[in-house]
Parts: sequence; structure tokens; C-alpha cells
Amino acid sequence: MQTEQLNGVASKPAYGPVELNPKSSFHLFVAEQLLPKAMECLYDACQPNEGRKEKAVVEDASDPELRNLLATFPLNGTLYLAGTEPFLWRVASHARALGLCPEQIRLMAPVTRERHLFCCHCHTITEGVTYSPYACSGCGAMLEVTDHFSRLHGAYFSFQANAEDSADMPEQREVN
Amino acid sequence: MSTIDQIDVKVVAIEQVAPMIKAFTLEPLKGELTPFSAGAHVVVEMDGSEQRYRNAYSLMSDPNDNRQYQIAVRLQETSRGGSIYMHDQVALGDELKISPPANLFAPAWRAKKHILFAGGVGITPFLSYLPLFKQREVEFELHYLFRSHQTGAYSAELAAEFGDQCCCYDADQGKRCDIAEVMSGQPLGTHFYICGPESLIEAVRATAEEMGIPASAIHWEEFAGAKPGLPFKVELSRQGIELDVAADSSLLEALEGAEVDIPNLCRAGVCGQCVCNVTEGEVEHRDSYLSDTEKQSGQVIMPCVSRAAGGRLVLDI
Ligand code: FES
Repeated sequence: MQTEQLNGVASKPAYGPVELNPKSSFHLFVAEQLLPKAMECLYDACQPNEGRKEKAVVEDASDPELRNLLATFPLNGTLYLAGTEPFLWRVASHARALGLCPEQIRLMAPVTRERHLFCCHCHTITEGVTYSPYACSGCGAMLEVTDHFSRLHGAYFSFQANAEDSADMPEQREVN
Repeated sequence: MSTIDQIDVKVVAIEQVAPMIKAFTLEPLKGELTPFSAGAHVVVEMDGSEQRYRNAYSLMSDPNDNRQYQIAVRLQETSRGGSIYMHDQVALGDELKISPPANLFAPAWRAKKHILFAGGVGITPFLSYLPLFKQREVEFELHYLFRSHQTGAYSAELAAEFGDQCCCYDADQGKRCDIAEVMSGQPLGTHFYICGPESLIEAVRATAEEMGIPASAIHWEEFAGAKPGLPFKVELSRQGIELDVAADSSLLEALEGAEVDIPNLCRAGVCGQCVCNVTEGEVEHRDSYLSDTEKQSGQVIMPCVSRAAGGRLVLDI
């Protein structure tokens, strides 16, 4: 079945343990809410010989303050991010646009397993999703949640669950 | 490489652009050439009297020019002969066969600034970058290292055209490039490119590592190609034939000589196209494509550059 195939797509990000980059001259720790414990530990463990370190809480991924911090980012800096998955990837994509390389952006495992869903019918992003199917906040369609993740949108691809047979609504299941 | 893909070209100009470097201008026998992307190369086929050479050369003409391609060849007296053939045998009006362009060294267009390190004839791929850099108004610096007694093609023209953006270092005049100084203090989003001898590539990579510059911001192309080695025998188990690989011939060339077509793009152990399975015999790995684990497994070989460590190999072909 189509659904199973789509759910087999392996674009769901995997998050390994985050390590400090000892060669960096600037370490920037950014969290969406209070710095999670794991990030505090990392921050404390960071003892740059010559470099600097800084931490910031930024609720909005497009926050101008964050942009300012990144604007003066050195070529050998490292950015550490903590927060929800959409936040991580939105900040990461801003950082990429400013010129950071992928290995300069280190993501800690998301603090919740809530997903953002991208509806392929109306293009609305629905937030806080933990089970499938889930009603689209834009068009109301019951959406099948896939593991196909867009790093650009920070959201999972989803489509009408009972598109072929309106009577055939899949059973609700949790997504992790 | 299937011969259908090849393009017949004619040599319409040959110019000595440095004491050891000749530039060749190639025009198609019929039709037009395709435009190519900056950093692309072609594989030129040369029918020597004793063997057929196929060498990869960067295209250095303007990527948007589909009337002709230009390549430059540095005479490598100690190499296996392809460059000697180009220098001594190829004359104006001769016909050659080339592969369609392939690119393993394109600029990272997301970069905010590009820093190019060219060593000797390693200037060639960058010559195709420059018209685009100019057109797109991107920020760049060119650091050109050469020995004017041997190389240094176009250095005067480049210096005149690009002014401060082009720094020339002629080792024969005692001018050295301080790589660490060039690389330090560069802004976020800078990417570095190196084309030249292995020593230059290693020096830039080591400096980047030392400075904590991300590895993915460093791009390089070696103009190595296959180096000679000891002769050995290769058995193709499925075809049931045995071939001799001469000291100055690569395994890939030996296979091609026996009409065994192996896909290939770079002929320098970089692209991964030519991989073959090994069933017996030890391999001397010379490529930069396979991982260490793959190399240790002894089950695969990149025949464009690698050879048998002993006298014999069996390939699953
Ligand atoms: S042809 Fe590219 S690795 Fe052999």
C-alpha cells in the first residue's frame, strides 16, 4: 500500500549525541525555551582556550536577535541548537543561508516528539501533532502522517488518509 | 565509456602557454559542443603507437561557449605518456576523440566568498570559474602558485584582468604563498578550492583542520590520474580470460584494451564509477573514493588508479 511505502521513506532525521567542536573560536548555544539540562551540561563542559562561548534563548526561529548573533559568526564557529524539531530545522536553515556548513550546526534531540505537518493539499502547516491521521488545521482533511521530513519547512509530509475510499479511515496510531 | 558518447573534435590551435604547458583548442567535426558547467573536464583519447591513452583534462574555456573547448596539458616526463603524446604527437588539424564533459569540481554556489588556490597547471578548472564569478559578481580571491621556468600560464593576463583579486606566487622568483595568512580572518560562508599537486592540497587541508574551518568548505581536485607500477596479470572470471597489465598502463586501460567497457568519469580514483569486484588477489589501493573499511575488505578495486599488490588479481567480470 502507498502509505506503507511512504512511511518507509527514511528522511526522518536521526539525532546522535552532540559533541563540542574543540577547534571552534566561537560556540553559540541556542535554545527555544529554557536551556535543557543536556545543553547546560554541554555549555559548562565547553572551555574554549582562546575562543568565546555564548548562550541565548530565542523563542522564534526568525528572531532578529538571533540573526544578529549569527551575522558576526566566524568561519570556524559552531552553533548548538535545542528545542522542538521545527525550531531546530528552521534555525538551521537560516544559518545555512548565512553560510554555515552542515557540520557547524549541531542539533540536540528534539525536546518533544510533536510534529509539524505539511498538508500537501492546502500547504498549511499544522502544529503539535502526535498521532495519525490528524485533522489539517487548514482544510480539515484527515491527514496520514508520514516520516518524510522536509528540512526546509521543518515539517512532515502528509496527505488525505482516506483519499481512495472515504469509508476507509485508518485506525488512529501514535507517531514518534 | 561507450564510444557512442564520444565527440570527434579537431585541433584548431596549439599554443605554448608556459615552458611546460601547451593549450589546445578543440572544435567539433560536426554540430556544436554542449555548454558545460564550471569545473568540468573531458577525457581525451589518444591513440599512441603502442597503447591508447585516455586522460582527463579540465575545460578552461568559457562554459557558455559551445563553439570550442580549450584544455591545457602539462608535460609530465615521468608519467605514463599521455602528456608526452599530447605535446609531441598532436599537431594542428589532428582529430581526437573526447568524452562529453563531466563535472566533479563545480563551485559551491551557496558560498558567500570563494578562495581559489591554483598550483601550476591547476589553474585550468579555475579559468572556467572566473567568467561566471564575474558575471554573477561573487566575491573571490585567486592565489596562483607556479614556477615560471615551467608553469605559470596566463599569470600576466589574470593579474591584469583581476588586479588585487589575483595574487601570483612565482617560486622561481622566490615568492611564497603564506596559506595560513590567506585562510585566516575569512568571513562566514567562505569556501576554498584547490587544484594542484597533492602537496598543495594537503597543505591547505591541514591548515583548515588546524584553524577549525569546516571540512565541507574545502574542495579539491588532484590532477593525478594513474601512476605506473609493477606489471601484473588479471583474470576475468566470468569471461574466462586473462590479461596482462603493463607497468605503465592502468588496469582500466588494460580492460578497455580488451574491449571490456567499464563506466568511468574521472580516471583518477575520485568519482566511484569504475568500481569492480575482486574475488582473489591483493589490491594496492590508490584511490580516494573507497572507505578504509572497503579497502581493508579487499573485495573491491577502482581500476582507474589501483593495481594488484602481488602478481595477479581475479575480478568478477
Ligand atoms: S573512474 Fe572515477 S574512480 Fe575510477
